[in-house]
Amino acid sequence: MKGVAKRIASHFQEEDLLSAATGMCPGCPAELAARVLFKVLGKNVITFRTPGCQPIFMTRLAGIPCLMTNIASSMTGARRYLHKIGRDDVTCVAFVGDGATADVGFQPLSAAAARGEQLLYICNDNEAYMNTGVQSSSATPQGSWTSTTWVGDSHRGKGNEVKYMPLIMLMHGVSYVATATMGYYEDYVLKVEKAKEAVKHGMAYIHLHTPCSIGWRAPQEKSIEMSRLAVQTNYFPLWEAEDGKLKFTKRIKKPTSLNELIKLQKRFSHINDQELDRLKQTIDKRLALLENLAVE
Amino acid sequence: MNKPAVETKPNIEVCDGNKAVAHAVRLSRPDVVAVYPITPQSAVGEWLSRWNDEGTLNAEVVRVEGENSSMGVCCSASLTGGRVFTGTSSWGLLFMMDGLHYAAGYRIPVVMTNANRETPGIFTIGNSSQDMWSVRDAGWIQVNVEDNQEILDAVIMAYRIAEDTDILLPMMVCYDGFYLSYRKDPLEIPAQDDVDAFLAPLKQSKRNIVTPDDPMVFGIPSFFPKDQGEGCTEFRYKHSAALERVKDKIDTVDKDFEAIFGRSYAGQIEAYRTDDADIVLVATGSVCGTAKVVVDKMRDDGVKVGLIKVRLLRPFPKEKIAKVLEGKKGIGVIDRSVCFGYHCGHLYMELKSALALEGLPTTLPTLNFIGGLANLDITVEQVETTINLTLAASKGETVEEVTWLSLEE
Amino acid sequence: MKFRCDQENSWFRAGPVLGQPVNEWRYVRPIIKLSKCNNCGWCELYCPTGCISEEDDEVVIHLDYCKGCGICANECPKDAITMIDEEEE
Repeated sequence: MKGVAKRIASHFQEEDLLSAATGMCPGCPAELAARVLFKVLGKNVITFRTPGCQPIFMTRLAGIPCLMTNIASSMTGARRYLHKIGRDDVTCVAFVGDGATADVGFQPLSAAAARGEQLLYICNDNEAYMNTGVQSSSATPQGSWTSTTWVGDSHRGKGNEVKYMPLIMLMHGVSYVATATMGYYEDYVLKVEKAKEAVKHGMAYIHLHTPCSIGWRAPQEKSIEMSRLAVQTNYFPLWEAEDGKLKFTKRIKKPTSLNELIKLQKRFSHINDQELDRLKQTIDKRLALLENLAVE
Repeated sequence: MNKPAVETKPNIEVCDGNKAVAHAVRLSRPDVVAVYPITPQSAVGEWLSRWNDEGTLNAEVVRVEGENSSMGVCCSASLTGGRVFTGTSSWGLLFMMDGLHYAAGYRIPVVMTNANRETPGIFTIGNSSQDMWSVRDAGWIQVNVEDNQEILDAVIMAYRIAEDTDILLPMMVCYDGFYLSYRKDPLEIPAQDDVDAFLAPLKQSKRNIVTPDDPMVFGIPSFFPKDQGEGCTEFRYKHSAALERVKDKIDTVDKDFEAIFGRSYAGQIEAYRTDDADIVLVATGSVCGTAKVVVDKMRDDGVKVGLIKVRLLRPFPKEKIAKVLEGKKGIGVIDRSVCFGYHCGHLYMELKSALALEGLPTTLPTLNFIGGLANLDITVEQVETTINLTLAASKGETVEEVTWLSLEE
Repeated sequence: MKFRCDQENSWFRAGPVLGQPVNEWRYVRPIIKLSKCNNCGWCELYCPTGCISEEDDEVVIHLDYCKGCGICANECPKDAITMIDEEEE
């Protein structure tokens, strides 16, 4: 190992703490992200997971399986008790899908953020309910096929825009918010390190973009490449906010055409120029909003 | 007066049922308390928050955003080793239904109170037992109490039962909302030292906790060869067997409680003047107070009537009840809820099953009386009606099996 | 009554679980051309199953735990990894 890879590996505190093989699909970036997460965080954690693509792989760490409806509250209970017995050294960390984050578990997450609970919450955003068979969630992009948003004469994929969770979390005034993807490996590692510190003062939220080859109907070897393209097309801008100060961690000076990302995904195979344009407008609008908020 | 000092002697204080809960919880020294308001039990959370802020309760009080989160907070705090509490009622109880199953399935000793109230659908704000019975299959221990002193004592006893190594199950202390939650009585508030002594045996209690120092995880262990089903069957059996053990445990804990505090509630059921009774009323909750008065009155008139007050709802004390009812000539069951699908009350259905399972004759005249829904009083006159009808049935007269008291002409 | 678990509920101690070998999932497998490899370490970092490691300055792929996803081949900056059909020798 040499160069950048060696520099990245120097942030690892621990060896790989997950099983050698998990039940995750081939090429799943969430499996990789979870391995890296615990290499950086170490063993002094209690993990929280819900039914979904997460529970299968965290087998070597203390873990609490939670309900999708209240995982942030479950984390709160453990965190508060650990505080009472003087174990503030233990990090409570969740690795949870976009459905449990943006939909069914949103209310407890919002409340825990508002209360300033000291939790590290990682949203594994693969843009739909992938574990149950690619049903649309509020993180599913507009126009995308899912098994509950079909393409036909009366509808053409999902009708609504994405509910953009990272900004919603920022507005709760949490200590640390970041977007990350495995395509930008070092960026992710540094953000996990910052989150580990930030969680001592309040909630840290990392929104992790994890292309899903099954649900996106894309080649499995391209999942990392797609997560990189998502940043380069401004489809998923990389930023972080410490104490509410938003700054981009990767500025894209010459964005790649969105079509480069879309054409890899069969869930968008029906998309026409007008629909692609609409998707572009959504992305531009979001980027403009972020730029307005950014301090640098 | 509102601020409880750390008393070394019992103290008499006029409290409503909600404050009785709060006193019991404070005396039991919980680590984490989740509070969320819902009529008629909001004052439980108000008192606990206030005492915590004033410094007489040393707990982490979490003001959650919904009951489903209350249960989430309690489950994880308990899984990591803490003593926990939350209180709720009706709509809130149903909103934490997934959490109720979770707590029971993972065998977490969460202690909770429920102020019984009508369930949603017909918009009412009043007492009934509909909520309490609706969650009877979640695998919790459930007791239902008669008066405010019993609320206070039952909550303290709940920690002894739930956290016992032999049991390790969540426990719900139910009390009639409105009737008890808002009614004020002079209560004996136990001394902290006495409660500490009563709960001291729990220090020897052993249970698994989640800690990074010795990582445990949940799931069906891989040594179940065929599939998850075999593991699930084993854990379901153990859960059900633990629930059966509660029956003896609640009796012994009641005796231990009496030894320290001088008050007893007779454990699973209280049999009131049943020894020589011909007919017996069966009821649960605050209506037992009225029923006892009427039983005394009818006894004075020469009617041989008694009452079974069912305290333990889950596990259902079928053996004890059948033993009392053996050889009786008529039974009248008073219900404050409707068991849909059977067109009768819940307690009635439970009792009929119990009698059949315990081998009592199916010809035994057994009647059901439904009343008291959404804060309707079950009056002295109505209880007299139940006794008179049961008496008539016991003498062979034809009486309607289920009587809806307030719908009678 | 015969029980298999000594616990009252579904707990077990989290140990260094190896997991089940997943080589049967695979229809292609990675082959490294060591002459092209400069030991940069990207494949090791990017392997989602963590089955690539460096041993004695040489990249080794533990095929028991390789699902054949092809990310290593796709991410290798030197194009030193190719995915070949499982049937091939």
